[in-house]
Amino acid sequence: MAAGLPVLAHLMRRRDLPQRALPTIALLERARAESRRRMRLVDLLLLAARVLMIAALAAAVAGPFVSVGLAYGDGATMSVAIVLDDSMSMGRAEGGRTLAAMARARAEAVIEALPDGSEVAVVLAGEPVRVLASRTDDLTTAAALLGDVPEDSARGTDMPGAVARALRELSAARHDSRRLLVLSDAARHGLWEEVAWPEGGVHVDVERLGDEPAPNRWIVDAMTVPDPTTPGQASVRVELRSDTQGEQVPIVLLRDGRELARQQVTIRGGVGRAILHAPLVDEGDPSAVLSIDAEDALGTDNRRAVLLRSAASIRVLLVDGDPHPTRDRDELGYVVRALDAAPRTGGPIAYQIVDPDTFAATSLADFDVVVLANAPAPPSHAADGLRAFVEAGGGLLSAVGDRVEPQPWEARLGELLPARLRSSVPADPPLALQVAPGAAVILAGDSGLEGAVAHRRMVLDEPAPGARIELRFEDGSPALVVGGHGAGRTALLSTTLDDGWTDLPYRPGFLPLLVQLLRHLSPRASTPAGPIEPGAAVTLSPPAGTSGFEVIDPGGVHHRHEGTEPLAFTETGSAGVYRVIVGARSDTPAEDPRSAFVVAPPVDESDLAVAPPPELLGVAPERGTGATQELPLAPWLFALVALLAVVEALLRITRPRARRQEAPTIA
Amino acid sequence: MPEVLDPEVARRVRNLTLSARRTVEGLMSGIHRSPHRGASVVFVEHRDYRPGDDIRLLDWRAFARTDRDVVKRFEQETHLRATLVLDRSGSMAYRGQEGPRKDEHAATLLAALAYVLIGQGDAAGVLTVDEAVGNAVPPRARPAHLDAVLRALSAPAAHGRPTDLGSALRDVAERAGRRGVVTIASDLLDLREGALDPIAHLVTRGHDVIVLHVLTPEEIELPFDGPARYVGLEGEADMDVDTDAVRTGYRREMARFLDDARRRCTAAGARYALARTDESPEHTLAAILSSGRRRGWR
Repeated sequence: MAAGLPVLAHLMRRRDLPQRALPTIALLERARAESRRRMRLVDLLLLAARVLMIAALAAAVAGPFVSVGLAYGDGATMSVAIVLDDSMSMGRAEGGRTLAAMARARAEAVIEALPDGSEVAVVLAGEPVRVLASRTDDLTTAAALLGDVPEDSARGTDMPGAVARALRELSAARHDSRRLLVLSDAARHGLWEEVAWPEGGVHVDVERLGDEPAPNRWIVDAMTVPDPTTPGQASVRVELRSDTQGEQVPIVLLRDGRELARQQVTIRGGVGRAILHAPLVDEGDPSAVLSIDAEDALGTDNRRAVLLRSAASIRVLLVDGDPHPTRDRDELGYVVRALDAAPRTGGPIAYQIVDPDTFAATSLADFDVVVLANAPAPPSHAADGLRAFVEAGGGLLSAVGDRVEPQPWEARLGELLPARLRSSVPADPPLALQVAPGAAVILAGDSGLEGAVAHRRMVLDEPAPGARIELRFEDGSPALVVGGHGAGRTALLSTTLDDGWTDLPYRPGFLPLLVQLLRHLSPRASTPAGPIEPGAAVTLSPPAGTSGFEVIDPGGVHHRHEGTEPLAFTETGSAGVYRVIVGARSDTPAEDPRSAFVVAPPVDESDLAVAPPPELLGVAPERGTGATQELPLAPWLFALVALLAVVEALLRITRPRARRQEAPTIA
Repeated sequence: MPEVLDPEVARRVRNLTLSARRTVEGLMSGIHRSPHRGASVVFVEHRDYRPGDDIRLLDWRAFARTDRDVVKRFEQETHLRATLVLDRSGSMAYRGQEGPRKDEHAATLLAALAYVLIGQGDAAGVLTVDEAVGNAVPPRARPAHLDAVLRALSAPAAHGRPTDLGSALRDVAERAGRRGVVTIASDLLDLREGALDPIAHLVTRGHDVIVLHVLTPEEIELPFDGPARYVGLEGEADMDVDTDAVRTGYRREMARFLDDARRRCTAAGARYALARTDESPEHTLAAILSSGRRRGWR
């Protein structure tokens, strides 16, 4: 009502105007018409400024406030753990922004909304789970760290692990008010049903980002094998999946931006398969890219790196020292069973079995590794051939047994063995096998060999210089020793590969042990031929005779490794080809195409279907989880009054100036 | 003497000599030169006889010498016939913050002229105008006629009566009769197109026209402050105006109005003088008469 005062004053003032007679009123009318045009705007602005000023003043005195919603929380200090899904499926774009960018922006807003003194921790749910920011009250730093979260991750999702890790961060929180905020696309590959939500004491908010996804197409698998019909050619077997049935999806094989092959793939039953042919690459960078031309929900899974290298499989010659028609009683029965069951993603292992006599007449040129399983000492010419094979880079695994006599072995193969043989002795009671400290071939952690025992063994001397014990008996004597000779690698197992002397073949760790050992011994294919998942560790062994190597990741970053020890390389977060340059220090650096490996996103990530609503999981979802807060408007209104007062004064100054301009003088 | 003529003003104006720019035709001999050639004492020229000329004017001596019929021409002294036109429309009733009303000031100026003219034996008459010609006192030279002239000039302006200057001046042109001096005292506040055209008509008919543009300083300067409601004197609509806001524009319009009036009058062959009510009448008359003298008046 007060705002009407200027208008009222204007009207009252008009009523009380003094009257003046003027004969020249016609001239006055003309002048007013001209003046009106100029002054009307100023007058209107002046009136508006006065009305607004009084209105603002009245409003300010009334002490109004506005209710605003907090981005998160209730305005009280608290401890918050944010689980940020940085898996590949968060790379899906909506409205020009990826879900990852939305999640990051939301996390920043949440942290910004926290009052001083609050604590925050940020856990990334991409596999493997990582802690981006440990629980801290330095909110600025925590928010800044969010800038490091990539938008084009290739990782899988480990939501159960991420929630568990976040709850651990909250377990020692300083504040009683504890909150867990999950920012995710809630895709079902996140294994939401396995998440162990807190029973109480922690308020849980699950915020789903993005709407229903558009149809998606993705490359499920790509495997390169030599073309059996055309030497020097590779066959790239591709499997696609699509949410759209019956469509034709073009797929292209590219190398250095050049198209090597193209094919239309028809999707039937959600799956399409194709085989593309391209030349093998034996030297230099073997990288190539498969790409499907599709406008779909997720772009990251439309490309897949492949390696166009020959002999992707490890070729193993198995020398069976005690063949038997019954597989379980054959010396290599368990080995063959294990190799047949070896995971394909780790690269195929091709093997050929020969008896000792045949071995003596077999050329080793077509093999990468020779396994002597309880074989008698080979004849001299065969021993010479084996020595030359190892010196040239081949691998040799020797396993003892009843048919192994130390003396002839020492005489024929002594220099190839990483430890000297003494004699076979029974073990009563049986001796347990243990992973030796410093073992590199057998990955640390859960080896699956726990509980394995041997009731007979070949007593070995201490390893030769440069050799290393991977497995020990519980009395400390060596059970598995690895070493090298020339450019090749050797290994000696002081027990059998069947269950004649040990129950090792019964143990779950037998298969991994065998595969890792063969990969270690293989001179040219020490890395898996198939893709590995982002974040997984890859064992890289420096080739014998070299002092180190470099790994070049898909982003072009060089990871240098010095020394002769195998390396568990874990910087595998990005999808693509990881190239290996050997001889990085003193030798002439050279690309080793056989050591390159591919990291590919997990197939599950491409399934963008949304998980059941979180409330079905026993968690109350809340969108816009912040409470409302009342903010007083009076200071702003008083500031507005001051501003309007200045404007009003300026207009009042302007107005007479406009009047005074060009005042003529009449004589 | 009627109150319209301030004795002091009359005394000061008495010494002024009114001279006409042109010689006028008069019935009475006087100090003014007449364009009529005739029975007079001052020979001017010979010219060829034309049929219709008075044969008494033939110069027989010249005929004898040159065998040509020529006629003698003489310059004749004659009386001045002055018509004093007073605007008595509503706008002339305006009085500024100081000084006389406009119609009073105009009457004073015309009365002074009448006093002088009659005093020197010339004829003076009065016509008052508003929408049309009102009072009319025919020109006479008798001293007793001055009283009638002054009485006619003394009648106050009628408030609210509109001006139709064009119509009134056309009427004046019809009534002014023979050539003479027509002096118009008016505020000229008739802004219609062609309102001043009759002035040219008067000049064309041989009259020496003097326009005394009577305005107050308030009308010229608009010296008032602040918002006010302005009221017209001839029935115009009231106007609420912030004086400060329009002063500049008003003065611009007034300058344009004055310039237009001066330009129209001089273009028609009339003499123009701005007669501000805050200036003394003799100052105004001295200015207008001196300009007449420069043009050939005695």
